[in-house]
Amino acid sequence: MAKILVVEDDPLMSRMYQKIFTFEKHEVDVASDGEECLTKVLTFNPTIILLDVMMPKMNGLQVLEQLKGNPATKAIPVIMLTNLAGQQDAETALSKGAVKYIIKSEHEPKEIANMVQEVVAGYTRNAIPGTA
Amino acid sequence: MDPVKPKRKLPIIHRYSESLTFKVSTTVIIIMLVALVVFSFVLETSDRQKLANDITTNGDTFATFTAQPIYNDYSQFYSHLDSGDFKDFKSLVQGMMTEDTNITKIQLVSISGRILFDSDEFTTGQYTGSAYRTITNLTTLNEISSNSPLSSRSLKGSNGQTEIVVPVTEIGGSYHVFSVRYILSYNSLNALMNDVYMRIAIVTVILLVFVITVSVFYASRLVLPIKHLTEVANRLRGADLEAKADVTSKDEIGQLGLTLNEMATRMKSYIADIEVSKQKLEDQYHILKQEHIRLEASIESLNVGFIMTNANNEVSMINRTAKDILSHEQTPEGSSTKIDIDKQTWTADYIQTRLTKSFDIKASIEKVLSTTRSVLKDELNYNGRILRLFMAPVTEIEDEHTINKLGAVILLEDITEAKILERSKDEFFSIASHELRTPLTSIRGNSSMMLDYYKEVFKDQQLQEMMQDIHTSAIRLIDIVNDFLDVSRLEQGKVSFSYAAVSVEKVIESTAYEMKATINEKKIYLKVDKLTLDTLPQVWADENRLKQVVYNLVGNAAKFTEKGGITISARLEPDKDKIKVLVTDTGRGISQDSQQLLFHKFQQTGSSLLTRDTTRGTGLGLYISKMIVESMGGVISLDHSDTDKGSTFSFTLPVATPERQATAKKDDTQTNTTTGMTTAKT
Repeated sequence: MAKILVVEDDPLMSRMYQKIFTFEKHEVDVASDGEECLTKVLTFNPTIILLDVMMPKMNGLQVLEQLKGNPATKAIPVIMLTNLAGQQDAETALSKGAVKYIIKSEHEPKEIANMVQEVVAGYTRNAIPGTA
Repeated sequence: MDPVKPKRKLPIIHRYSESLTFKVSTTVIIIMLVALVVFSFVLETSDRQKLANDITTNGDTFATFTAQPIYNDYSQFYSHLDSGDFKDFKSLVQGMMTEDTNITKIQLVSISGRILFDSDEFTTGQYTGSAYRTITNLTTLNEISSNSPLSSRSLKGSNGQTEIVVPVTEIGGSYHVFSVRYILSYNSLNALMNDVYMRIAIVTVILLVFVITVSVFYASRLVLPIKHLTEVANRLRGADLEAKADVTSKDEIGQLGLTLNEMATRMKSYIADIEVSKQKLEDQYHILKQEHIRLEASIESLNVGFIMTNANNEVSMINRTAKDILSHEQTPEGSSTKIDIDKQTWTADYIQTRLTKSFDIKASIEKVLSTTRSVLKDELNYNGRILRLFMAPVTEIEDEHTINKLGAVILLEDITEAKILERSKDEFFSIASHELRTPLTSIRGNSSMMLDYYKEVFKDQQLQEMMQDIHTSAIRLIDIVNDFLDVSRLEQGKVSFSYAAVSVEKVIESTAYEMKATINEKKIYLKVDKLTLDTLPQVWADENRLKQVVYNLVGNAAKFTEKGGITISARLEPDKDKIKVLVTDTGRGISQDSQQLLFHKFQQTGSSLLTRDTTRGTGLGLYISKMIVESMGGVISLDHSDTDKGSTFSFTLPVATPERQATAKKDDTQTNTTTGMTTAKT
């Protein structure tokens, strides 16, 4: 049972993730942009953050920098969410402190949930996921 | 040079005085006259003197002769004196005077000075009394008288006359009694001289006439050929080259004539040559002109802007398209207008002002000429347009060491539309892929969750199946979108490959592992030939893309195999520079006809029955694999295929040699962080 903060601007996606994590009996909160994320993280205190790379106003990388720059939040593991095109940015994110990146369209929600659980459980930083 | 004096109308005499004839004749005449004058002078002085002397001597002799009888017969004379009648004497005297005309007077004079006889008596019949009409005075007479008798004395008079005095005495006596006076006037001499002068004058006149005639005649004869040559020369000067000097004499004039003729002949041949050259030149000029017209027309017709500069950085040619391209302006409001290209003078400076700071023409021309290399400016922003500019030097290579720099040539293209199109294509793909994927992911995810978490609801088999199909379709669509994006980016060369030394063994094994589940469902085997993989060197490739290719081949193999299985192996090629990966299946094989279609876009062999497998059914799989393998420097092919026996596909990749690893150029990539598109910088 983890507290998962999903940062995703597209409602279709954020609803989907909300559901899967709820089905898996986790507590979920959703932020639809970077600003909201930075606000909510402090109040919600998530165990893990799922952060979309491509967002308007502030993109995922910038949010990540902020999170990792803030001592209050830098310990929280962050998983980057991306589609195939944003792969380059996702890889950059890893070097900025993200634990992993997931290509949204490649996985079933259940797989994503499992991955999240793995991270939370082990809080291990995988080797660069090839076709994660 | 002095200005040409205006020709005065000369009087005819004056003109003739310039002619050669006149000059020659005059010279001859003058020479002759001088000669005659000298001759006369000589004659006068010497001969005259001689003649005068002769006359004097003669006179002397006569005077003495006349005095002789007086001397001889003194008493007779003396006695007859008073009567005045001495006949013999008188006839003697008369005879004398008749004989010698030079004697103008003979007088017999007494010692006292009394004229006893005067020859005037013969002419005038009388003689004047005692008047003393002599040229000498009494004193002188007496002086003479004191001389010995019959010794004559001649005295010169003031009026050219000479007086001869012969004193007479009684024989044996010393007392002078008479004097015989002869007065000589040199009449004969004068007459003679006049005669001579007359003759000389006549001769002179005759000679003069003769000489004038001859010299004029001869001079003009002399001058004639010169005149003729002058005329010929004039005609030659007037370009009448047929003029020929007709001279046969062997003298200098003849030489001149020959030379003139030779000159004329040579001139003729030169002029003929010139005419030929002129004609050739005209023909060449005509050809050149036409070439020029063709060239200009071609350049004008280009839809690429063409500017040519000469060695002084001046614009020597600019076509309409170039002017058009450079005519764009942006209003302050941001809308675009165009200037009137025909109202401008398109100098290099003006063109520079059009391009403003975006490009320094003169500096670039300098660079291009000094390095003799061309320059390409791919994106030049100017007034809201994007231009592509290409500049090359125009040089003429004379020999190894001499290269003449004639100028530069500039090509301009307005690629604004093309760039916009490119960007919109990029944007389209990125937006499309992004926009398509999100709902597709939603469909996939939701349908998956429905099946997973609402099993009671989907207990119904049909319902379950429907949901499955929805889910599968979503996956398939996602794959198609991914394939399309992949193809477009690979085709545009916008894919960056991150090369590294990759273990083929590792990739093959992990792919096999990932596909095991789906393979098992089909009840076929998937073998990895470990023996061949063990000692292989690493390849120089992009690991993800390598995996993609293996995935594709294995997936295809699985698609077409119902029994038996798939074997993956790899080996080092004989040249030791490549590694070959082989995927062999025992499937139904590919017919000859179908083999032609392999590796092409959208070609599929056979029907594709997709269950939940991992193959991509878009017909792009092999096409993508081919592009990937070839980008990485390898070759992909169907090694062999037999119907119902199976097929073997293979691809090669270069070995990760130290050289390749060293020259690893980091692919310049730039990620557009708005669209997430990764583009390779070309």
